[in-house]
Amino acid sequence: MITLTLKGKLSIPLEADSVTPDNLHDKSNHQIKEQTVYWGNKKKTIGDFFEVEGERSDRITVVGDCAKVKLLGHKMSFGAVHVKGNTGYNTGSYMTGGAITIDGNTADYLGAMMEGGLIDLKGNAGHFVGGAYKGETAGMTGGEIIVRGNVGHETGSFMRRGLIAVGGNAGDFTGLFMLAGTIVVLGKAGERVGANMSRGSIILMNQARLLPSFLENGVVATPAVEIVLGRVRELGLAPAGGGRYVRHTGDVNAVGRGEILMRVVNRNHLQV
Amino acid sequence: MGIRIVNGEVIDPAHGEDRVKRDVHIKDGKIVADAGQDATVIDATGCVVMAGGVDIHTHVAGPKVNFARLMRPEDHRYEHVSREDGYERSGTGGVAATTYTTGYRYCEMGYTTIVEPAVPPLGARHAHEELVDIPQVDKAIFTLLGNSEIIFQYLEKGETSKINEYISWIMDATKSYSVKIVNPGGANMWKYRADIHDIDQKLRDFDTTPRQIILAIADAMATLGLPHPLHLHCNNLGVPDSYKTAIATAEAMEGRPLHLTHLQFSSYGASGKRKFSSEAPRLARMVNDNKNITIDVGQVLFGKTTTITADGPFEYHLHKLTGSKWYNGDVECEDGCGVVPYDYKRKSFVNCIQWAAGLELFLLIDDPWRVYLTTDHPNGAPFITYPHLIRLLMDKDFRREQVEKISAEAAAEIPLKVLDREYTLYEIAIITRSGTARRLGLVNKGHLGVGGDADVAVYRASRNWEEMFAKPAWVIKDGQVVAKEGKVTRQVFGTTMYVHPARGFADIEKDLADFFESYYTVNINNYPVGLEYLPRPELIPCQVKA
Amino acid sequence: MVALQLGGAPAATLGEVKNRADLVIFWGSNPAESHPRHFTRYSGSAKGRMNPRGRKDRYIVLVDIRPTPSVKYADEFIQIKPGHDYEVLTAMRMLTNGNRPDMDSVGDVAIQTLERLVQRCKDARLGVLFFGQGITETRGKHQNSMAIYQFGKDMSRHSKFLTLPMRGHYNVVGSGNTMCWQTGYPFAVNFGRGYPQFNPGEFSVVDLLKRKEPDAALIVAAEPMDHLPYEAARHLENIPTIVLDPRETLTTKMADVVIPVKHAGVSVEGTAYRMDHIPIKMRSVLNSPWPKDDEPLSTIIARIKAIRKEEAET
Repeated sequence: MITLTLKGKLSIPLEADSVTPDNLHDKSNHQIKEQTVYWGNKKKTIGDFFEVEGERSDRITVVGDCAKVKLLGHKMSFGAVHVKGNTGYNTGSYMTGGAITIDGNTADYLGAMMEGGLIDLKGNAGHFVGGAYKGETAGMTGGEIIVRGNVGHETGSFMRRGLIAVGGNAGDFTGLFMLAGTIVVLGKAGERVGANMSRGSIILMNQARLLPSFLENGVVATPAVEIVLGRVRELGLAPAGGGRYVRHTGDVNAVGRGEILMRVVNRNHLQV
Repeated sequence: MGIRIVNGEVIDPAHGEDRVKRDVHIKDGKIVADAGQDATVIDATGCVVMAGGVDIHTHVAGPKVNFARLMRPEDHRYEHVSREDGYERSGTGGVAATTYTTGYRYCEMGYTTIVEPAVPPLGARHAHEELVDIPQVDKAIFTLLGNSEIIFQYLEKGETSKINEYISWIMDATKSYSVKIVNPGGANMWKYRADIHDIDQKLRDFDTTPRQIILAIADAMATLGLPHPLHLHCNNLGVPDSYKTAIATAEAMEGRPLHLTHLQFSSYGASGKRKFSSEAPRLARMVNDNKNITIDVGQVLFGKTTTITADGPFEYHLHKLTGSKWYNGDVECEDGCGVVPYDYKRKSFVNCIQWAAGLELFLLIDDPWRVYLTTDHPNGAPFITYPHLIRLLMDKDFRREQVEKISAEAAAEIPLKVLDREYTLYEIAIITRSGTARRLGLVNKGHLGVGGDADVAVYRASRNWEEMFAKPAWVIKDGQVVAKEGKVTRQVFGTTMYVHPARGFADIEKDLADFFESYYTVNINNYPVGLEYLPRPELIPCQVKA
Repeated sequence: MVALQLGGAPAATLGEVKNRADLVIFWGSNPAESHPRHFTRYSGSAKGRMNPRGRKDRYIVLVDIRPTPSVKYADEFIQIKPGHDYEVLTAMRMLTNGNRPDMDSVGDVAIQTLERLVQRCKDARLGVLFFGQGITETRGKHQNSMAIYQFGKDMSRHSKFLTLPMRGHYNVVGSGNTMCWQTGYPFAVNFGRGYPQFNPGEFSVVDLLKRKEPDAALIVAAEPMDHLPYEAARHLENIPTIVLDPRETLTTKMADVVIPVKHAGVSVEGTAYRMDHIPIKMRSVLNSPWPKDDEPLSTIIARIKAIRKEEAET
């Protein structure tokens, strides 16, 4: 295990995309300290900001409030990063494999453009979880993101494959421009869920107001949902099982083959 | 301090020199007979020495290029030029690269002159502001006039002398080098969501046709003696049977000089199972038979790019086909433009035919002085692919390997598969610099004779033509070494070339004042671009025939 | 801007509106107060090639959450429930594409009203939708603009249609264009790593200041103390600031260093880009003792380079 301990409090953000198992696993502690990080407009080293302990390993633990540390686990393909604290922007962006665990909260773009691997966030996330960077027309193409707290807007935008499960509430535009894949929200979802989605599934455990471009398409109880929820349980969240779901298809302004499955909470839900 | 390039093999087609062992002397920014004893010596042993490259058609500046940059941040995210790498100005790449990056990249390939071929008059000021920020190369713009409502009005009344006067005025008002026509009448029709499909089709608002527009402008250009003839993007471009329109257009010229640009995009027929075929052999015959015509190819190469053209209806068609992003920008009284991202795929039958058609044009047109290397950057491919394209032309084995990688269905149909011609270095020098410079009327460029501009590229000879042309050992601009081993070593700025044709054919002052008042939203006094927008202006004289 | 990056847009210069538009829709925009000359020069009473009678040749629709002074210039006013622009636009896109929403009204607007508006767009010679801050600054933000552009693209399948933002703030379009040709991005650019990186939210000024990340600021011809949200502006008071401005402003009053400069388009010539991206030459009409605004910047850059060089040598 390699342990990086943040030395002090940061106000200017640090771009630490060198902190990945891919880059650090075969380096001595001295070599790790020499690795480049960018602090504001200055080129610095990991050793300037972190104490480095432990031995060569593909497991990295980062200790301290890293709310201003960006790009942790960026493009990582194997191993594990465990952050005992918060993280900043773009954590796990472009990740292709391995696992990131964050005990605290994170900022925007958690797992953006992710291709594979697992991200487990204990706290809250900002906007664009598993999302696409501006201008991209394909976002997350694989992997799994579990957020136990709340997420902001545009979760899973342009998502193409993979799973995003949110234990708490989600902001607006969950599954925006979604192309495929699955998003589960256990808490409340905000407005405009699935706007412009072509394909893919969004499972909501609470009612949400949908756009006019989604058409109600019967009540279903499908094994497919239970399989997804089974996986979500394995990953540590606790969705209720065995329910029935109102199926909405859309967005008819896009390809229209997406579905939003809203759990039937009580018999009167249709009048709400 | 001069420079003497010694021990290299000079290829200078303008003077018939093919791998001639001689020294090249440079002093005060010019090629000279003797650079003097104190000249810096560049030992070009094992190298070929050519004039700097001259690109006759590349979309690098102006409003629609900037929309292409704006609309696609994802195009810039994965490539950049960094201060850390020693560049004076950082920037981003991708297919629609930033201005500084564009200049550096051209220079690093040995190009020293580029032409932005499609600027609407209202966008000229913007284009010049961007040219100021493109280093390393000399530059020029062509002004779009094929959908000019002022010209249409004069055409309706048959007022030829006023067209001459207007074109002279607009050349000066836009500090432009020549005239480009894109889809004559088509952008005007697109303002009604319609298009032009035949050169004798009447426009809706104006009693005129593409044939009349093209001939009137070509004749006016001849009268004014512009150094480069009409630069034409045909009607009906990009669709099956576009080759028929191209041939009809060429015939309509009746011997007048014409440059058909990115002819590859007009070389499609409608035969075969898929009703899409390459008719490049027919067009090549047409070019071979008509000495008044030159073309540049607009080669398609596989990969992601962004299409940028003044052909608004074509871009809408492409957007509907692909569902990609789409920007449309009609320009009042003048023209239009569109931007759509596109991905040329080896799996796509149509894309493979396009790829082959371009190569067929190169290989079937006999006279290299009348066919020029372009990719219609970035429409067919970004300009950084030129070295790859050169290898495709020079190495038939490499070409055959590439044919094997494309869609089998397309590979079975393309005429390319039986073509064995290999371009020589001498011919490459013609299609990338000597021929383009001559057709542009740039007497000081594209050659290494005494008096020429000291824009020189020294390439280390290699059997891998792609590597050779990607990283010249030295690049010299205006007599200074500006890049070594394919890397910029010194930032310099080239000139902006423009013409100032004679006036006095007719009095159009009142017409223009009325037209601007009625139909434009800018004041005529604020319309002309002054020389203050050209920090290094270079006036190229017009050649009026007696 | 971000919406344009998501999907593009059908647009044109304002002369097209003047010459051809017979249907003009203002959405979340109050041109009578925000762009008082827009109406007479381009979109309302302006006479053009197809609009020889000016106002009589155009049908004008205003869409907003409340009646504004612009209502009296419109033929039709459609009032929608605050925060429901996206829903209304979604329904309009459905109608454009041949799908009828399964409801009587959306955002307090009857579907029939929207149906009529969509039909008007389809029948128009040239329809134009101008949208303003009433839609770009409310819930959904750039996604609302995106919905406008999508509506424009959908409508382009049926008729000639344009969607144009009502930009303001003098030369904001010029600044965006210049940033774009030099960096590839129109705003929110970070040069920290030696090359341009773009990420709105991460690198945009308001967000950076709210997170208190900058430790110094150079402000050129901008008025953040007046225009930015309070919590963002407040951070500027706690860090060193240099301001270049021709006038005394709230920001110059706060600044540590103020460098007075000439006023572009007043005391020095220059170029400004109109909202439709047409560059306009600005003349100098008054004398000013101050330097042009690029001069102090060039001096600062030269000095920084010299210091860097000295540092590298020692």
